[in-house]
Parts: sequence; C-alpha cells; structure tokens
Amino acid sequence: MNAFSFRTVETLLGAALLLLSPALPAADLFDNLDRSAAGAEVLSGEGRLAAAFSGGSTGDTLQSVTLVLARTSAGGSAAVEIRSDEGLEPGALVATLTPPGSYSSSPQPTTFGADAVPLEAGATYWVNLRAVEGTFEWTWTADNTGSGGGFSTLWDSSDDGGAGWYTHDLYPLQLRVTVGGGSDEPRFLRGDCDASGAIDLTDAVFLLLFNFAGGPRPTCLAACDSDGDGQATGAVTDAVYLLMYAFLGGSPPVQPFPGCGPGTDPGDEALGCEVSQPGCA
Amino acid sequence: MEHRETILPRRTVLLGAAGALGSAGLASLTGLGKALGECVNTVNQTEGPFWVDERLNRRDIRSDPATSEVKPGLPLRLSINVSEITGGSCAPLAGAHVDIWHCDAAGGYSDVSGAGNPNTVGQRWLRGYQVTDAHGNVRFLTIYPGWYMGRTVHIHFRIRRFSGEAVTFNLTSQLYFDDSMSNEIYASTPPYSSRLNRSPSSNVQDNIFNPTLLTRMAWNGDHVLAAYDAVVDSEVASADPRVTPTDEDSLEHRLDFGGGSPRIASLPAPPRAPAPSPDRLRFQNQKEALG
Repeated sequence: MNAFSFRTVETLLGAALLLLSPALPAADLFDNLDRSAAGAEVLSGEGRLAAAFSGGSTGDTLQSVTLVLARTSAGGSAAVEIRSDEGLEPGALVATLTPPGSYSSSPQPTTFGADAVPLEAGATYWVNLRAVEGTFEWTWTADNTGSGGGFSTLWDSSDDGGAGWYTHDLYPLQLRVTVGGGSDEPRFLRGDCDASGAIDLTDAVFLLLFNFAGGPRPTCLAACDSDGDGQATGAVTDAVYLLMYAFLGGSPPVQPFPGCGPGTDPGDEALGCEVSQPGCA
Repeated sequence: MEHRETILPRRTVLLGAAGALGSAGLASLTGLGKALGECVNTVNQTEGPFWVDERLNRRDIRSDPATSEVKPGLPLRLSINVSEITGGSCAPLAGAHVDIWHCDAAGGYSDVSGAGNPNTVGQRWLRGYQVTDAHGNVRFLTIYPGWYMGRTVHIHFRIRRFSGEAVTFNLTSQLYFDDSMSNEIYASTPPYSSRLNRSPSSNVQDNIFNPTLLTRMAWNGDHVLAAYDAVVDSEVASADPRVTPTDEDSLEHRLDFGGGSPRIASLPAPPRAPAPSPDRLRFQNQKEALG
C-alpha cells in the first residue's frame, strides 16, 4: 500500500469514526447567510447591534455564531456576547464568544466560537456585537425569511453602549447560529493548533513557539496533540508529526479529523480544550 | 448594557398587529416567517387638530428646544420602519421624513391653543422628525403618551417625501398601545398615576382606533420599547400630497378633540365637503370595512 492510499484509508477511517462518535452533528438553529445582502449597519464606538434567536430543542448547546462582517477600518477587533431576553431587548450576559483570528475588509461570514453554551428550549437569546476597536459593518437582508427553528427577524440597535435599545423586526441582520445537538464538549479539529480552520505549516510553528519560545498558549491544546499520545508540551513530536503529514505523506492527525468534533482520546481531557475552535461550527 | 439587579415590572406584547409586516417577524420567532410580498398599505388616519409643521429634526423629542426643559414621563424608545411597495413587494424606504407628535403625561399638546388644549403656543416639546436610513428606520426617544378625554392612547405620525421644499408624498396616521399595559403604567407610574378615570378606557371604545396600527411593545420597568412597521405606496399617493384624511371635514378630525379637558359639547357642522377623490373613497371604504 503506497503512502497515498494509506492516507486515504486513514482519512476515511477517521471520518467513519467521527460519524460513530456519541456527539450529535451540529445543526443550524438560525441561518439566513445565503440571502442577498441589501445593506450594512455600521458599528463603532458606543454602537451596539443585536440579533435575536430562540433556543431550539432541550439539550441544545451553542457551538458558534457566524455573522457577515466586514472590518472597514485599518485595524480593530470585535466582540460577540450572548445575552438573555429582557423584553424586546438584550438582558443579562450568558456567554462571551471567542473571536476569530482575523477579519476581512469585505463582507464575509465570520465565526465566533462558543464553549458549548447550554440553551434553554424556546427561550429568546440575543447575539450582541460591539466593535472593541475600529469600525465594522454587519450586513442585513431585505429578505425576511430564513431557516432553522430559532429563526427570527427581530434585531436591535443602540448608540449608547447598550444603555438604551431600539427594536426592529424587519430586514434582519445576516446570521447563522449553530448548536451542537446536545454535546457539551468543545469541538476542535486535530492538528489545527492555531485555530485557523486549516492544517498547515503555521500550526507546527505555533506549537513550537509555544513550547520553546514563549509563544501564546493554544486555546485548545488537545488540538495540538496531532499523534494522539496525550502529550503536546515539551517535545517536538507533534510538530514533526504535522510536518510529516503535510509535506511528506505521513499519517494524518488522529480524530477528530478530518472533520471537527469533541475529543475522544484518553489524553484529551487532561490536555484541555477551553473553547470550541471558531472554525468548528 | 449592564444587567439590572432591580426587579422592575416587565411585560411584552408580541401579539399586537404591529403593521402588516410586523407580524412576519413575530411569526418567524416560531419559524413561521412570511415573505415580504404580503405587505399591505398602512391605514391613513386624521392628523387631528394639533399638527404643527415644526421641522424639528431630532431623535430625542422630550424637551422644548427654547428652554431645554424635559417633559416628565416614562421614557419610550420608539422605532418606526418604513417600507415602500414596489412592483408588488416591499423594500426599505430611505430618505422619508417621519414626524411624530403626541400629548404629554397631562394630556396636552405643545404649540397649540384651543380645541380643549391649554395654551402652549411657542413651546415645542414632544414633536420632531427623523429621516429614514437605508434600512428604512427612524428612532425616537420620547415619553409614554398621556391621555385626554375622548381619545385612547396614541401617537400621531406623518411620513413625507420631499422634492426640494415640495411634498411629493404624505401619509398621516396614528399609533396605538396595548390597553392593559397602558392601564398598568397609568396606575403605577408618576406623573401619570396622578390622573384618574381615563376615558375611553380601552382602544376599542375609541372611534378612530384601528388594530392594524397597534405597536409591538415591551414595558421593562423604567422604560418602554415600541416599534411599528409602516408600508407606503407612493405611486398611489404621489398625485396629491394631501390624500390622507387631514381635511377638517373628516369624521376622524372631528372626533379627535385634542388634549386637555373633556370636550363633550356638540361638534360644529362640518363644512361642505368637496367631491371625494378616489383616495378619499379608498379611505372611507377602509373605515367602513373596520365597522
């Protein structure tokens, strides 16, 4: 069996194992990303935007939200929170989501990861966006339809940091809300050490910098354990394993791979995965 | 927005007919969203006797610009969306001027005198306009309206389009609020609570009330949120900017007594009405349909 066919078999095996894992597949509770954009709400400073969705079935956990965002300033970052409903406006903080590593200057689906936030069935929640720095645009559509049991056209705006909201229920902001169907474990892609959504040279470099040069700690260390031996620190083996796979036809990372999922190896819990990776919606 | 620890009364009305399109959004909360193609013209209603074209472009209309004195009352954040029917479907209408005006907590209007209203000429509180953005939205910060004898709780609004100084489109109507919420606010919240015996005490007892003009609203203790989705068909109305029943002989105008004290004297006979235009007939038909 040559290297290519071996890898193909392993890839298929990984996919099969993923399908057999106890976690239910992710589902979209709210999705109107495929509707035509008609405009964008501009956000900066004290401005706030919020879009409502309702919780799905009992046991759903929020895995991620994806907004069609553009960063129109030279730099800056955005923050997304999930808040409860206080009567047509956002209320108490439920969760703060993990921002993506980068933003596009043109409108693109931009995913914020959630750490398996439990959702109450039928309750209304708000996805709150603010510009921490810089200026962002969140697109909206003139199409008032969307898919998912939690879809809503309700959205709010504030120009005073959320002290006072105005409510609207037409021409909704473009959003996807993904739930994990009952899994309460963080989801990740094995080998995607820097949580970029892809496996490449940068993952190996990111892990080496963390281990030996004081680089930032991965938010999901289990994802860096490419060979699944329960170790990801203090050694070069995982980085080498990734490089072998990427460039020399070596074995692929162990599951969850090639799709996202919760960790199933014995060592994953000890390594830890603080939040689901943004690309694992 | 910080979480409020204080327990305040909180009520939401989601089932009000918040405009022809408003129900689409509400239904969609349960996954039953409907398409924009179902949009229907917003009903015209009288401007009443207290319309003044102040041309005050401002979001916060609570104060008198001359004195900066703010009218007391429960803060109300009111959003109005304006859609235009184009080719049988609706789309957000940008650039429309949306005026609102309403009475204060004591039931009086500003900058008018007579017709049951105290003399407030020269004062310009609780009046203002905003221009719709690309999303079709305007936002106002005001106070929850009070009441006066003869009318249910309402806010007047007017949607206009201009070509220079010329009005090319005009729709005038009124917004209404959930009865039970109004009653609770008036019973528990100063300065409204100092006034008793609201009459009529419900929307259905009002001769002008139309349920399609109910706002979607929430009373969150120290403030109220309300929204309405208006739909205009400027092609129909562009021939005459005064197509809405603002004429003084209209029944609605005669029934809208205005703010202040009760007015139960017999109404003056209306002037002889001109031959009704097709648009006037359309409005009359709408009234008859409403019973």
